[in-house]
Amino acid sequence: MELLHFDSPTQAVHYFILCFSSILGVIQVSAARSRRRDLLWLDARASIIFGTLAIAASFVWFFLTDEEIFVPGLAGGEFIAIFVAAVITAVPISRAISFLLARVRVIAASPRSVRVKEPTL
Amino acid sequence: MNPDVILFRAMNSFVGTVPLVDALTRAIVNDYAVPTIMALALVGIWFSGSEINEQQTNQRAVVATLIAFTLALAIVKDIWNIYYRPRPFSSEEVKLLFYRPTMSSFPSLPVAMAFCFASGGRLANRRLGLALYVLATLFAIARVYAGVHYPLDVIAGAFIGAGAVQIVVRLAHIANPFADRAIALARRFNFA
Repeated sequence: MELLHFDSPTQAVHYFILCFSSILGVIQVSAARSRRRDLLWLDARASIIFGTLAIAASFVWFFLTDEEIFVPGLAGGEFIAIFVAAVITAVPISRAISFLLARVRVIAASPRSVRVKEPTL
Repeated sequence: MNPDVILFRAMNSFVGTVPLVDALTRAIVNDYAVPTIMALALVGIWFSGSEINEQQTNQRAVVATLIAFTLALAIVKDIWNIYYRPRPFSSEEVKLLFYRPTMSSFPSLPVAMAFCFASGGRLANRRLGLALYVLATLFAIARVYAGVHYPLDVIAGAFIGAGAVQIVVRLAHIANPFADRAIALARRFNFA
């Protein structure tokens, strides 16, 4: 397809990384503000800080490392495709990390006697 | 003399006088910064809302924005098919802060997209929408200052983008069932 010929593969990868990491950050900030425990990785305040840093760091990295942003690069269709791919990748990963961290917190908080198996004779 | 050209020359003539302004313009005018920020704002709106009703309202706003963007894109491309306006650098002496796009100058598709997303953001959250409108306006001004568009191009783009959202809002009785199905599908796959 003409829209997806990805004339600049390096720039496409860089843009995907920008979108992926900043989407993770946006999800954390939104989840913290909306008290959505299914998406939160940390407590609300830490998630807002982490999310904001993730977004800022992504943009700083992208604009400092990519020297080709002022020459014709990705086409409009490529932008959309890469952003959608980043969303499709970031959302399940975000949920999976949230689930795993919640499990770790539950296990860490449970009494030791529950975690340790009874010795068998 | 065409007032559009006069205003363009007046704005573009300042390029090179204040390096900080030029640097800020280059940071805003590129294809990556503002469109990505706008799209990220929609992602944030999609996942916001502490109650299910609030989440649904926000997600409907996102779907409406995407429908409006498709409409705005179609309108801009149809206009391009009918009328081609050369870019300022094709016929003027321009201090250019950007590369040379080849598509018609009128109307501005990036600005249409920016105002479409800003209008859509306002449907979900007024304060966020206001912030996005400010960003979209700066983007539009930057496109003229950088020598990429005439003022009328970005004004037309802004009206098309914002107008497309208003059309979708007026047709909410048609758009909402479609939006609700899309949201239900997204929830089934844990994307909402």
